[in-house]
Order: sequence, then C-alpha cells, then structure tokens
Amino acid sequence: MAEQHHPDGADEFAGRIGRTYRDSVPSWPDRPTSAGRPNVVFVVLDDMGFGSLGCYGSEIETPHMDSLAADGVQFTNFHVTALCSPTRASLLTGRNHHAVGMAYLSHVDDGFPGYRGRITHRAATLAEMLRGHGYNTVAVGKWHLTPMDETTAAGPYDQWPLGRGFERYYGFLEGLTDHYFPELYRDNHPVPPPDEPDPNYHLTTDLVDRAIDYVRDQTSIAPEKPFFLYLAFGATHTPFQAPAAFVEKYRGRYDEGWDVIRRRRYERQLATGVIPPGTRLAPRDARVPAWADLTPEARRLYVRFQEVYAGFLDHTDHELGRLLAYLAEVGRIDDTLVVLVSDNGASQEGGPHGVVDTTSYENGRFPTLAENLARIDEIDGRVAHVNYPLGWAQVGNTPLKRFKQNTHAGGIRTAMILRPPRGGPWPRGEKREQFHHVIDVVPTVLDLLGLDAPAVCNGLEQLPVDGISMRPTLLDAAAPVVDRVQYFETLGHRAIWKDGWKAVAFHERGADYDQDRWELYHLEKDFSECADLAAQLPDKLAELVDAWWAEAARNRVLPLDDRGFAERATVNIRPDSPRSRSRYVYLNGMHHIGTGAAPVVAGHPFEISAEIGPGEGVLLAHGSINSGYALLVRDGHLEFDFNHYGRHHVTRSAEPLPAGPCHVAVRVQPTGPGTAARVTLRVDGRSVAEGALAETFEHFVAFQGLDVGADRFSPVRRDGTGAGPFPFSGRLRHVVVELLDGVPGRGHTAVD
Amino acid sequence: MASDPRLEPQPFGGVIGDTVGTSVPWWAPAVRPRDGAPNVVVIVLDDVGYGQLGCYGAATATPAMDALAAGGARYRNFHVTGLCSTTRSSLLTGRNHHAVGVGFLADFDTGFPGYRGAVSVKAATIAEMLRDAGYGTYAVGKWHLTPPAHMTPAGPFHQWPTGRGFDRYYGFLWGEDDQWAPDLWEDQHHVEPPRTEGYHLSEDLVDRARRYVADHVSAAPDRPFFLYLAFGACHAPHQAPRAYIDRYRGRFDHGWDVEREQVLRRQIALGVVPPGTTLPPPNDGVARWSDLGPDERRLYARMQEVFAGFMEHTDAQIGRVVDYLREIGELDNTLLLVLSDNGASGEGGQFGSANEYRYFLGLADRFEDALEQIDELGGPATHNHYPSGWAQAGNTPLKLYKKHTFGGGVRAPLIAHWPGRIAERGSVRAQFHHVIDVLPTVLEATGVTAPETYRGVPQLPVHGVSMAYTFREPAAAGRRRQQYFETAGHRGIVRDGYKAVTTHEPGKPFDDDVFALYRLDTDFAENHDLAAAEPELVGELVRAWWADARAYGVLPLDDRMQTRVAVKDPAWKRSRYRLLPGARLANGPAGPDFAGRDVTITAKVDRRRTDDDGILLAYGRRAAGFAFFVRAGRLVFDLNLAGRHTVVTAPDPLPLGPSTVTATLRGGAGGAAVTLAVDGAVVHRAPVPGLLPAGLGCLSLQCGHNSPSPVSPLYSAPYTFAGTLREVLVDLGDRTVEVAPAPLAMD
Repeated sequence: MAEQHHPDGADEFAGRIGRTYRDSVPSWPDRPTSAGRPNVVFVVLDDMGFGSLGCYGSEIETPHMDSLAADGVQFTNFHVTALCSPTRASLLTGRNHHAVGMAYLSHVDDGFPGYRGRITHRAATLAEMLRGHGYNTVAVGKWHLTPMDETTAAGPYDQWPLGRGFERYYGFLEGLTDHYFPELYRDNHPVPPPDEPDPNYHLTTDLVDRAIDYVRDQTSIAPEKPFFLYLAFGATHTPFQAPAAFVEKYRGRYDEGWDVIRRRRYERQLATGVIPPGTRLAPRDARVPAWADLTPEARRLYVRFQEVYAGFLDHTDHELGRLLAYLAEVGRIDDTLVVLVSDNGASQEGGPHGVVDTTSYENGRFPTLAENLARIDEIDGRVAHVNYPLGWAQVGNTPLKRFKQNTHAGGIRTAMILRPPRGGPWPRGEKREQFHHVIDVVPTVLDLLGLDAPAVCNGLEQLPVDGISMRPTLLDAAAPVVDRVQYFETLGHRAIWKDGWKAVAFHERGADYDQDRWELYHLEKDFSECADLAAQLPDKLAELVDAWWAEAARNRVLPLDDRGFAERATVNIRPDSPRSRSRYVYLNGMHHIGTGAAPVVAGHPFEISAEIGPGEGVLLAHGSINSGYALLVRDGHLEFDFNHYGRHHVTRSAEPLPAGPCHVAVRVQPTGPGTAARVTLRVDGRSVAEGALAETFEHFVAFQGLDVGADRFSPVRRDGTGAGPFPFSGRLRHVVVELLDGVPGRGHTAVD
Repeated sequence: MASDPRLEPQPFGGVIGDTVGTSVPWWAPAVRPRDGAPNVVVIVLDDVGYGQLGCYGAATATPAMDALAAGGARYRNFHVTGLCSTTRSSLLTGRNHHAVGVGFLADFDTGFPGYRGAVSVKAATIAEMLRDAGYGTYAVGKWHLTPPAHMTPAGPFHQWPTGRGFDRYYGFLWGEDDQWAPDLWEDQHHVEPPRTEGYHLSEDLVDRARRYVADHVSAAPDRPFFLYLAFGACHAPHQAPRAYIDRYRGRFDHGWDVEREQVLRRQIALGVVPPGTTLPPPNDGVARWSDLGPDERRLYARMQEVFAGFMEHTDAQIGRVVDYLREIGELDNTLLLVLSDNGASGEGGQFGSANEYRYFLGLADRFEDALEQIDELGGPATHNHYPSGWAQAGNTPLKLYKKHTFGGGVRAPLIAHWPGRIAERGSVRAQFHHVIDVLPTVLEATGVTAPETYRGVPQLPVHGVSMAYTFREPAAAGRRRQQYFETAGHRGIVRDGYKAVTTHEPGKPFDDDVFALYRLDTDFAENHDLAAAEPELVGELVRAWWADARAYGVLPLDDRMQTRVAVKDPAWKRSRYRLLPGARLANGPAGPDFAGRDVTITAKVDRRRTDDDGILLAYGRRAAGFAFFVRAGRLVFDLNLAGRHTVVTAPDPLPLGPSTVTATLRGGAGGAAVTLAVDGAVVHRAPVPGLLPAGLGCLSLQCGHNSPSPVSPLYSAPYTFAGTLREVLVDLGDRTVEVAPAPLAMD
C-alpha cells in the first residue's frame, strides 16, 4: 500500500534561499496528479431487487441503465450486504462492513467496535484515496453514513461527506427522505426549504441537476483533473414517489398479478442469460399468497403499489439518462468509468399489504388490508410514504428467496453494472457469472486506475482492504472464480460463501441463535438456493459454519444483535450524543434538525413549553404530514396536534390565550393500555385542556425532523392554517422539551 | 502517529461475547474541553487603525465595542503584522506568519517556503485544535487565507475554512468585497447574497453568526463554541447605509490635522496613549489640511464621514452579536476578543478614490473622478477609499500605515472581554504582545493543548506566549521580550522595550535601508530616533532581526507587491479555458491570466428569439472587469477599467439560429482594439485603451451569467443568457505588455 499524499505535495523545498528573492531560486512542490486517469461515477440505487432492471429481466423500462450494461459488463453473481449503511460503507472503503464499524445502520451505536454506526478513520473511503491523488470528489444524494445524532449544526463533522473525502455534497443524510419535501444538506449545512414548494419539484431531478452542475463547474475549471462522482439516489427506497406521468405509464400493466409477472421476469432472465440455464424460480415466499387466491379488492390495492414502484424506477432511469447525456455533451463520457449498483435486495418493510406510511414498519404495526383500501387513492399521490407488499418485493428479487435484511440471495444479490471508459481491452455488452462482493469495487477501481490504497491516512495506519480486484473477471468471462470466503451478517441473519457453496441461516428475532437452522446450497449449480443440501452434507455445512465463526471473529461481527432499528437507536445513547440529556432548549431561529437528533419522546412522558408573546403560529413541530406532533397557537387558542399516520388528534385550549405574554405547555403522559397517553395543556401553570390519545408511537415518530418557531418541510399540522411553515408571529425566545423520566437508554448518566 | 480522540478510536472497554446478551457495551467518553471552558468569540476588524474606535480615542461612536472595553480590558501595546493574510495566519496558528508560509498575502505563491500564501499543515489552526477538543467551530466573513488558485467551485478545498478546522463557513474568501453585492461562499460552494434590497454584508454576516450560535447552543448546549467573525469592515470599499454616514455630516470639516490632535487628547485622557506623547510629523505625501482647496476639503471630509459611518455601522453589528449572546445566556461564559488585523490603510493615496480598483489596476486616480461621485460615496456605485490623510489620523498617534512596520502599521486595538475573569474591568493593559500570543491565550483559557502531531503531520512549535496572565494581573511584567516584523521588505524588531525599524523602498538594495531606534516604553509614537546615539544597540537588534528571519522563514526578502502575481506556480498555467454556462471561478491563478495578453473569447450560441440577450462571459463586477454579451440582439464588449467604460457594440443584430461569436482583444504597449466577429466574419472593430492590466484584484469569471454585481451599466444583475449557450472558449496569447509595475509606490 502506498503512503498518503497531501494535496500540497511533499514538503521538500528544491529551490535555494538567499537573502533576497533576486539571489534565490523558487520551487513549487509536485502536487499529486491524476491527469489522464478516467473519471469515476458510482450510481447507487436503493432497495432495488435483483430482477428489477430491464437488463435483469424486468418489464420496467430502464433504457439508460440497460445501455450502460450494453456498453459494459453486467454482473449476475454480485453480492452486497443486506442493508443500506453497511453496503455503502463497504462500497466506499473496500472493507467488510463490520470491520469498519458499520454492522448495522448509522442510526445506531450499539457500544461494540463493529457496531459504531460510523466508518472508522482507519478505513479511508475511495473519495479520500482519490482526492489524495488529485481527483475532484463530489457526493450527491443519500449518505446514511453519519451517526444520525451527529447531523446537527454542532456536528462533529468528521463523518459527514466532507469529512470523508468529498469536496462537495448535496443530498440527504438520513436513510430515506420525502422526494417532494426532502431534508437536504449542502456541504456542511442544512438547506432551508422554500416557503412555497415548487409543485414540479422532485428530489431525483434535483440530484441529477446538482450532479450536472458539478460536472459543468469541474469541467470548466479543472478539465485536466478527473472527478469521482458518487450519486446515490433516494430511489427506489420507500417512499415510492414519482411524477404522475411515469406512474400512469404503468397503469394496468400489473393486473395479471405478481405470480405471472415474476414468472415472466424469470423467463426473460433465462432467455437473456442473466441466470444460468436450469435455474429454478424460487417458490413463492410463505408469507405471500397466490395472486389467484386474492380478492378483487386486494388485487386492486396491491397493483397500485407496484405501478408506483415501476414509475419510480422508470423516472430514476430517465433522470440518470440526463446525466449520461450531459457527460456526453461536454465530452467526458468516454473518459468515465461508471459503476451502477443497488445497495441490497427489494424491501420486505412494506409487510403483507404494503404501507402508506413508512414509519408504520418502524413501529411494528403493519396496516390491515381494510386500512390500506380506505387510503387507496393516496398511494400514488404526493403525500403517501409508500412501500409495496411482500408479493411485489419478491417480484423485485426474481428469481431469488427472501428480501432486504436477509442473507438469502433476495437480500444480498443485486444488480451491478460496470461500464469501463472508452478504449482499452474492455468487453462491451457481456455478462459475468463469477462471485463478487461489494468490497471488491474499491480494489477494482484502484486497479483500473493504477493506484494503491494508502497505508496511512490522516496519520492513521489503515486496515487492509478486504476486497479483491474484479479486473480479471472483467477481462475474461472464463476467468477462474477467486478462492475466497465471504461472510454475511445482518440482524442475526447469517451466511457464508466459499468455493461456490453457501451456508445460510435465517434468524427469527428474539430466538436463540443456536437454534437457527443452517441451510446449505451449492450455488454454482443452484443459483436461486432451492435445493437445501444441509441434511445430505453435514460435514460440508459444519465446515462452512465454522468458517463463518472464524470470519465473524476476524471482522468484528460479534456480538450478534437482532434488535430492531427503533429499539437500538433509542436505547443506546452515547455519552457524546446530543440525546444524552433529558432537557432540550431549542432557540428560535435554529435550523431544522434531523429526527435522529431530536428528543426520543415515543414511549416517554414529555413536556413541551415556551414563554411566548401574543401571536399565532407553530412553536414546535416534529415530523411530517405522515406522522408527528406540533404545538401551535391558532385563532388565539393553544393547540397540540398529534398526527398519528395522518389522523389528527387535536387538543385545544377552551379559552383563548391571555392578551399578554404567557407560559404555555403541553404534557404527554403515557397511560396505557398499549401506547395510549393523556395530553394536558397548561397556560401559566393552569390546566386549560385535557385530551386522550388512544394510540401514540411505539418507537419512532417520523423520518422528518424537528423545527421550532415554524412547521417547515412537509407540514405536521392539519389543514386550516394555510400553506407554508406558519411561523410563530409573536415573541418566542426558545422552546423547551423535557423528557420527564430522564435520559432514555440504559445504564449511563446524562452529561448535564 | 496521531492520537486524535476524534479520529483514533480508543481501546474498547467493554466485553464482547457471541451475542449482545452476553456482552457489555462501551462508549468512549464524550470529547469535551475541561469543565467551564468558555465559548470563544474572536472578532476581527479590517484595516482599522489604532485610533479609530471610540474607546481608543476616535470621534466615531462605537458604543458596543466601548462597552466591551468597559467590561473588560483594552491593550495599548498589542502588535500585529502589517497585512491582512499575515495577521490572520498568525492569529489562527499562534506562529509567526513567515514560518507558516504566509510571508505576504494569500494571493501569491512566489515559490519559497515562507511565501506559499497558504498556512502550512505543520501549523494546525486554533479551529483545528478547539474542534478536536469538542468545540463547535464556525467562521463567518473574510478569510483571505486561501490561495486564489483554489477559489473555484472545484477547489481544492484543503485551505478553505472548512479545510482548516471550521465546521461551517459563510463569507468571502478574498481580501475585500463589495458590501452591497459580495461574492459569497458557504462551506465549499458559492452562494448568492440572500437578497439585494437593503442588503449589507456586515449585517448578513452577523445574521449568520447568530444563526450558527443558535444552532450550536440548541443542539449541543454542553459543548462550547468558537466563533471567528471577520468583517469586511473597515477595509475598502467603505460602504455603509446612508443613515449612518449622514450622522457624521460636517463632523470632520476641521480636517485631519485637527482631528489628529483631538484624537490624541482623548487617547491620553482614556489612558490608551501614555501622557506626554506627542504627534509625529505628518507622513510624506499627506498635505496640510490648511493647504487644501475647498473642493478637496469637501471631498475628503465626505470620505471620512463615509468611513465613520461604516465604522459605526460595524459597531452596531458587533452589538447585535453581543446582545444575542447576552440574550441567550452565553455571554457570561464567553471569552470575546476584538482586534484589528493591521493599521489604517494609506492605499487611498493623496486623493482617496471613488474606485479602489484603479489602485489595483495601476491606473492614475484623478481627484476629479472622485469629486464627481461625491454624493454616491459609500453607496453601491462606488468602491471608495479615503485619502492617506485620514488614514494617518486613524493611526493617531503613530507613523505610517498598513504594510509598514512602524507603529501605524503594526500596533492595533485589542479588546478582551470575559465576565468575571478580567481584573479591574475597563482598564488598559500596557504589556507588549503580538498577535501570535492570541492562540496561546485562548488555549490557556480553554485548557486545550496544541498538538505535537496533527493528522499525522508533526507540528511547528507555537511561537506565541499566553496573555491570560494580564487578565488577572493588570500590571504584571510583560512576558514577551522580542518580536520581529517584516512585510514587503519593511522590517522591524522589538526587544526589551526597544524597537529597531526601517521602511524599504521597492527596488533599492536592502542593505541601504537605514534602521531607526526607538525606546518604545517611553516613546509610544516613535518620535525620538536613538540610532545615532546607540549604534551598538541598533547593530544588536538588526542582528537579532536576521537571526529571527532565518529561524522563521522570512528569507528571501522580497519587495515586490502586485507583480508577484506574475510569479506563478507553473502547475497552474494554461492558455485555453473552456467554460460551460453557469460556471464561475475566481481570478487569475484559478482562471485565465489576462494581464498584458491578447485575449480571444469564442462563444457558441443558439438564439431562437430576437430578445435572447444576456451574458456570454463576464469578468469582474461593477468596480472593474469586462463583459461580453448580447443586448438588443447585438454583440457588445464593455471594457470596464475601474469605472471607465469603453463599450464596443456591433452595428447589426446577430442573426437568429446557431452561430459562433468572438470578441478579440489585441494590442500592445501602444494601444489595443476589440474585434467582434460572427462565424468568422468581422462585424466590428474599435480601439480600447489597452489590454487588461495586472493585479485586477479578486474578480470572478462568470460564464453565461453575471451576478450579483453587474460589470456593465448597460444591464442589471443577474443577467443570464436567454438563448442556448453551448460553451465559451477563452484563448490567451503571449504576454506582450509588461504587467503593471508599482502602483504601490505611493506607500
């Protein structure tokens, strides 16, 4: 591995210094240069299953991505991790995700080295590596690699995109965002939303516009320097949101149902060589009913979800096409290496009937068929946060088993296209069947560029790069599969790949890991994991399971943890977290803060209070039109609007507020049963209204964060207060949020 | 190897079993400075002389700063370097400016380690140090420590504020900006000012500073913050809301000579100048006020009214910062420092200027030009600077100006405010100190230590010493014995109360410079030269100067000013630039070096409508530059030499549809001409005064648009090309005219 480079070049002065400049010889350091090396563009799609792109057998129209495959190499045996943050950590570092500290999501620091929710600085990202060699670097879109409680103004910023090697950033730091009301950040600061949203706005379009902007600037200024563009779409993660025209295009195309569509994809995959001859179509998932058995009502509902998904992916492809066209227009496409990958398989987080509010998954309460039917016309609107039902997710993963989160192929085998720069020995329009993993991307890029990973970066000795270069595979369809072992682990689901064999164990949350049943597949002959050989070949299985434990120990996979996202994110509060306190004083005028840094109120008694002067508007709002809560003054009355998945429970003071300054407060006290709670409004210490909430949130309020003095982005409060953020018009210095049972979490004390 | 708590994970303190149930989690302790570590706010004023604050004897009302002084301490023997970038590099690193590579301005890299124009990575900044101790770090305003070659949307960014330890940044990167229409950057990208109506940069900067504080305190009330707030004020252009300026109408009609006397009297009464101090004779080139004609007096008095309004407006903004800190309850736990980066600027010369770009361009500034614009001074139409007579009054009772190593260049106001931590509130400190001592003071106050290795790079020692002892013991003996000074060949050294100092005339042998010797302890204004009486002491001090010069990277001595721009790192040289519409980049080093060269601008356009007008390529702003655009369907080239416009307009409208249009500026020492052509056919040719001169300041090159400040009065900004613009090519010829020599001879 190479030494690190500093952008100012080596420190040696090669000139001569006399008494004055006239008797001296100047010299300038040699700066690292990558002139002549190609640009690198990563396109990361989100939650897109193996069989979702046209070139992977889908009927969804993705001509631009297909053209990349036609112009490059399409991998059919490419693996990732089963989740967003871990795949991204591996994609950018070339190391195993537990090894760099990203076992799980960046929302969580479980308190173990593999589970920090942050990439150790001992693993430089490709951006850090390439910048050190004179590349320009830019990230656009989803990040999901900053600990979420470090996304406020107070940082720290060392895990923001600019802290990890990118020179510019525009996108969202969360795992998902609303495509019409995105919580955007630019470089190190939040982007205030427009007071009046543009009705034609769509995040995907915006991201591509920014990528084009950057290419334009960079091409004008430093055309001799190559760039690394990391473009990570919000699509096609929930919420599925696409312009109407794109959804309309798919109206009626899914009426035949998921069984027929899945079989068609499977047949196309066989016909086009995406899957080897003889591959079986994995049986329908046990939780997915046969389409033929569904009621017309259920079919009518489910079809709508898939139409939105198809439009969403088609729109993404369309927008990517604009970027590719721009690169061609300014003459840089030929010199560009493009890597397109999905971060994991299609999502099971829509549950059996799909969801219209994505947070219902986080709270473990999937809506019933009837609930969804009642909201069927919201599905392709601008408000809903949609994820599709399991049946369509399995279509997305055709011909594979299971889903995102799982270590069966449906979770971890994805689309991957590598389109090399023009010229050179590179094949075009071919497919590759060799096993590869997302950790191989960085070594491949470095290999193609003729660079080494640094041994030391920022003064820190670096972890070895775990991946191997795919260059031999790229050059030769018959290149031998590299002798290697690759483990997988997510939420207790485990797997290991070795010499074409795969052992995999599904883990039921809360169950004893020792009771997990390991399955054994000879992947070389059984692409879709349909013939379990565990009973026949116990020794082979034992060998693989032993290898899994060895890899687990080596890569910081232990201790195994199967707790869910909302639970882990709210009980494991680091001492350094802004959440490690029970009292929050939010000054009026502060920027929006993300939900991952907002107080953990779900399940806790809490109070929101403020000293206010006469006026109207929102004092505090957390969440979006989909879910959340807001304290506001309207028509002279104090209101607490609790928005439970779009159903508003408004507690309102009986009397108008006094004419002068006053102290207002709302207290929410869990009462049970379940998540029921009592709401009390007080003015100057006197109770002015009481209300009862039959249901609150189990774990998680909303993906949209918190504002004081206004209700920005997608509005939490119910209609009737006009459009826009409804800023509080009176005097408001700050709003206090207090968790009345202390700091959430276990076993450590608050800093203050 | 670094041991950085932010980057380097500490040894795991928990227990790892096979599952979470059999394991004990562990988290690293929070990264925090010691208990009670204060917030730190450093406010940097620009080109504000020793006598330009109310609490330092000025007639200008500066109630907010006066209140800070009354609640804290003022320093009367605090020194800086003679220039902007250099003082800032020392302020932020606690090291001598040559030692960290900023011997002169950030604008130039002349190829020597002391003159890189960028702070060496061997000198971590105070922001880097405080950030790693748990502080939130925010920079707002002027930076002037990024090489202009890096001031592009593509960076590189490692010498931007966010590259040098600041979490967030909002401001302007160069040495000065238009207060009404600045070129602003946020973090690492360009931004337009939030509004045009009623906009003023100082107000915007303070709005932003308050917002940074609000965000920080809301998110992390248990962690202190460091706010670095560097105003463009009161560097030229002197621009302030009219109401502030008009408050001073008639207040300076008595002229600069009388003003100096009045300032000195007040200074002595305030204790910021020792009793018995007398005014030195006027600087060379400053006329007696009584010798001026009525128009001159009228113009110059107005220029000072504008400056005073600018100063008071700045003070009001500082007041908004202090009020906010008090309102949110943070002021009591905040160490707040206010200082100026160097003395008042004599760059306005004899007449002052309505457009300082004449100075940057090496054009003669005529009295009549400024007089003509007297009623517009301070507004958006001028880029004005007062005459050196007022700078001399601003530096009362000291000699010379900014850039010099005499007191007028290097002695600066410093106010320290830290409730409960400063003894004898409102008193004046007399210990000799230097701007390199600020960082050690802050480190002592916060309990943070300077790293020996930062991000793997072994660090230079901190050269400064803490001044925190002066907070507690107002009369303690000073802890700094010696300090060298050097700026553009002007040299000085202070040791044990004595100062040896010389000016240097560019081009003359350095050995011909004659050092004067002053007993600074008793001769505040450097009036009594003891060199003839104590030649041995002079020799000793000069030898000490050379020793420091060698130790701190001052050599080789260099007396070039703007012409340093011609000494460019060969890595950046290009003769063709291809700009895509929407692109924007900073001046010379990052973009085309127009100075003294033929220039051909080729634009590929497609106009569908007769009103598809707008900018093809604009360089600069209202104050200076050029613009090539389509207006009323015709090609126009406007060469704006500091407000003197030569407009070349094609006689016929451009045909609709695709075309390739060019503007060629060609010439030599004898003059120049602009040729406009369409699809290779010349459509117009007209003479212009000359090629572009050197040292055009920091102007941005904008393709397909011009904002926020219009180069030409023929349109208003933003002016964006309405047709399709494919690309603009800029081709440079060889340099045919020697680039402008020494407009700075006036110093």
